[in-house]
Amino acid sequence: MNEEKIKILKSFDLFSDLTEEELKTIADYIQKKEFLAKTIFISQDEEVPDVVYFIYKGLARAYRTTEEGQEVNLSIIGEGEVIGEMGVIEELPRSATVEAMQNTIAYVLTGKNFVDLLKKHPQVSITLLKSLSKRLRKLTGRMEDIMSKNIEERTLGALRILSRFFPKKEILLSHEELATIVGATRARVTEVLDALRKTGKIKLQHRKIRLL
Amino acid sequence: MGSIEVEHYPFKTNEPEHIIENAVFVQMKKLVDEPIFELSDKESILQWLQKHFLKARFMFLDEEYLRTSGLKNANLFYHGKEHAVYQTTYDAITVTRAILSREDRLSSHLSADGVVAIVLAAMYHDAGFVYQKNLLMNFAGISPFHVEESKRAAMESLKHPLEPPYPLDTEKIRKFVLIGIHRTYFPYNQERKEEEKKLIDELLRADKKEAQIIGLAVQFADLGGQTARIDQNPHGLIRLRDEMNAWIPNLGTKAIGEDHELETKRREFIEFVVKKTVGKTGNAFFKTYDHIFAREWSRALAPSR
Repeated sequence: MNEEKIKILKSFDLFSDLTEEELKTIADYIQKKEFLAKTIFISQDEEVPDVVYFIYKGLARAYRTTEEGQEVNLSIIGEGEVIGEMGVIEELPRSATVEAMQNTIAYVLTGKNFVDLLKKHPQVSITLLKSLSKRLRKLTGRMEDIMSKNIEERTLGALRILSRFFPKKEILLSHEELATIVGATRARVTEVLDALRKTGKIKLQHRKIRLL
Repeated sequence: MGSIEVEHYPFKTNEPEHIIENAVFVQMKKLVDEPIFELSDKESILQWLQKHFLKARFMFLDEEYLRTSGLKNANLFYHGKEHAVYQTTYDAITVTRAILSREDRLSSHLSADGVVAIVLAAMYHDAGFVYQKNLLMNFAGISPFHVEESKRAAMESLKHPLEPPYPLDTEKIRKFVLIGIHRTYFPYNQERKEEEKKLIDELLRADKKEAQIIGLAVQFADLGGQTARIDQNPHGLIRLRDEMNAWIPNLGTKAIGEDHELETKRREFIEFVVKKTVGKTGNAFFKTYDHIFAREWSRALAPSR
């Protein structure tokens, strides 16, 4: 039984540098769990997070629920990835809900055993740090992407507000001024205005922007 | 001469934005229609103020978007756009109009530069919370240095292409805005007063009195305006507590208290505002103890609440 677990553990990047003996010790503690699709196995704000999941087969999604009840997807978690480690390390409530998107097999380690493992094996800690950095980078990229899309929304928003105060909805505003107002570069605003023109939302005239 | 009429931000939380924005712009129009502005300058000054208002409003958009998406680092539950830009700007304009309507020695100290400086300082007084563009930062964590950051945001915003139009005096406005924002430090202790004195000492003798009025008007619009919003009581304190807790766990609960202590805290705070801070300013500005802000504070202290 443990041999199968060791084989599975080896497939995780996190444990790739450990010796057979070390993997054997982890295999003694790790438990297999199966989740049917749509099962929630971590709940946002769960008070005492005490387990870490290693996804062996399947797919899960992490999301947060806003106060208005809207679900905001944070990431998709696939085979070989670890989840729940942040709450265990920080000793803070879970930051997101994780739901199985397909039938999923995960291996579970208690928080205490996970922390002991990190303390004993610096290489595992480094690999974990690498994976956390990668996740952080991905999240920053995603936020920048959201903000970039936001420039389009706020440009149109600024034009809509201003149009109420200009007759015939013709706004006298330079691209530079508009860029300063919406917090973007002049080049980006020109790009956005061009896109809005192509989709028929505005008409660009000499020193004037007309909302359609 | 009788008491001075003053209006107060009439909106509750979650009022549709376009209604608030229209109301702010209407107040701006009334302000630039004051005789202190030359007829030929009114339109350009109005448009310029509108652009700054939008700039200040859009500065808060990322935080607002992230907060409503449930991301924990976006945590301006109290110092969000609604207080930072809408309410404070609205009240700064109405208070300034009230001062101008006195047509006496106090109002004679105000110039067109001073009038626009009050409005700009109000618009940008909390912009420091959102001025940095690090998307993963803890917004509430900016609190200890947000006033200095707000000054920086305002100074940057007053540069090209949104510099003051002719015939406004850019340098004078910049100095006045700094003093106005400085007055939004809370608590406003001896150290802050000394810092303010240094800022005022740098001004020309003729501008010193005006700078003091500007500081008091902005402080009144910020603190007086927010605490006179009856619908914010006790929610305003809860929001402030949540924001402080998001900055440092338990900080807000220690400073403001648990749920069962909120009612006492709320009363103590309003008493403090009325007796020790902007309460006196309002009575002096409006030449009465019975202005709309005082009535709201009194309602907040009423036993039935």
